[in-house]
Amino acid sequence: MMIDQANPVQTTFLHQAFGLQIASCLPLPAFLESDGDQCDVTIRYGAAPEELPEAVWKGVRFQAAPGRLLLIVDDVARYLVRDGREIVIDRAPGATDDDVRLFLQGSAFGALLQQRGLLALHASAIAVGEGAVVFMGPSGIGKSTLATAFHQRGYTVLTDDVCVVDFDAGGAPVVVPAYPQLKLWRDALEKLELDPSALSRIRPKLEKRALPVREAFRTTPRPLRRLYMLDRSNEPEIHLTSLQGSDKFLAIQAFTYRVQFLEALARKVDHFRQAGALAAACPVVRVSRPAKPYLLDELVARLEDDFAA
Amino acid sequence: MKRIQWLASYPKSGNTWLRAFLANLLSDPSHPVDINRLDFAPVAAARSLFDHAVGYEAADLTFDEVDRLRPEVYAHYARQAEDTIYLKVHDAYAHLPDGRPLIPADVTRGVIYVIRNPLDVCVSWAYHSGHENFDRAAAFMADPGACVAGNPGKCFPQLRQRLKSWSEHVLGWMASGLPVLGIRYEDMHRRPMETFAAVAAFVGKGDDPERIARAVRFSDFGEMKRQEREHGFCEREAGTRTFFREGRIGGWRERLTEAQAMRIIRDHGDVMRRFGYLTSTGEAVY
Repeated sequence: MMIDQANPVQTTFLHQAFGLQIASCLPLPAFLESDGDQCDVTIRYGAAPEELPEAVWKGVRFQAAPGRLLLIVDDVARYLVRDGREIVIDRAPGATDDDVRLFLQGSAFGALLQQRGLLALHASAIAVGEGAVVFMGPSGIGKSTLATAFHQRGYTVLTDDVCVVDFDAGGAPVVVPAYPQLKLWRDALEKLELDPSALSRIRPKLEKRALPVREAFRTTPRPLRRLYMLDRSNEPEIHLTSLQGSDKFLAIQAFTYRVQFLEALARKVDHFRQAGALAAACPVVRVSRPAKPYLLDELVARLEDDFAA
Repeated sequence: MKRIQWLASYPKSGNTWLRAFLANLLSDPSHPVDINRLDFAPVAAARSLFDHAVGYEAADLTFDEVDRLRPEVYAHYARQAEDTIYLKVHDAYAHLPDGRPLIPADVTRGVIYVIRNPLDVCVSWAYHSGHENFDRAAAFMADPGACVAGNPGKCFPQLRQRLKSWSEHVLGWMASGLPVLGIRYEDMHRRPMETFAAVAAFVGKGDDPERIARAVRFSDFGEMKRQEREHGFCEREAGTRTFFREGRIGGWRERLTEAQAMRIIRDHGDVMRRFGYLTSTGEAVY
């Protein structure tokens, strides 16, 4: 912790996540602490506008322009994300720190990563040997549940929800670890035989809890070996299917984190190129599992066989 | 702005059939449209539609916070659309605590509301839910607090939807003040040409009787059942046997006990009478 020189009222907490050094006015206990003097991102309290006059794209609660994104969460905060370097939080009265953190660590960071030109997937990821495998898919499909099941079997979790994929000097894709925390719904905790009362809620009003997974977490990027696209069906069996050609690209496109922000950020062309490079470099496997029952143990075994092959 | 054509019904009342007809009518194909490709009319409560429009996830909001944003989500899609968009909806027609309707009138082109005999709905809902318990289904249909995807400890592919009771569902939509075409499932069976021609006219495609007849043929129950048998149906609930089960009128007579039928008639008699499901002497019509 250090005192912010420009604004001594605001205490600053130093963190690291997504490969970035972050100075934040709000403590972010899910992120790792940092003692470095370098700072890539500043998060501070301040005034954020109600409208972004230069917006070229407006959603229901976001407005975007090149290098700018305004996110509005009613009764929580307005977040102004600028140039991939700064997030200004305009807190609503009555909002808790947990409320403010949740959307900060989600959509606001999603926008920031895009502004920095990074490819972020809606995915969890685990370490496998020296490499990483990624589980992408829509909300509620079981990305976190699956990552937790692997964690219970001794694997290191690299990220829960937002997975940054960068490219190394040779152009090969690598997963940049985010921070060591999983978010799990009550029904997932039951499936995983975890006691909800031992874990804190991610937001006071939600039945979703945070599971810290700091064991063996390292921030070093790892070569991306395989992308799994999680899906569910009304069939009774698990099916793994390798995607080919443009289907690989389309899957990466579909599960790009907050893809709806890209248009206005003038990042579409870059994103196409990155998604194309990733599709060319990495196998993409569609994993269809029964909606009921989840067959979690069997799914983990099938995936272990698949990524060992 | 009046871009949204809502395809509304209580669950298990013929909405899929209506969508299959419209899919065939709108694209006028040479072969029946694939029942696994009815995505021209996604469900309004789809989580992905909400998340994409809002910019953060319904999964990080309470059910009430989600509901407050839903009217704006539909207005957003209406604003972006260049032509009519179709949305399937099972929510009850309802107002939010602040008085705004969940379904905004200023973006609504019209509503096609499908009504089905609640005695048959009860049987179908019990099978669809996987429990095959008709008492439980009848109690659900009488519950003003009934909802689907309403477990706050779980993340469903759909948002929480309040259904209210079956009677309230019917009356709410029919008296919504929106332009509503009410059609009965039983008439889709017994008078398909007449009923579907009214649907076609309502969506502005009523001028080609041959096209309508072809769409009726391509979406009839036997065709949908054949497709499900050969290729499966993505909208079938896991753990249930088939989605297109009997598609019959009056199937309840072989399934429900007299006490179960009496209970449904007691719960919904007024609305049943009003829509021709009960004679003036209280006998079931179908």
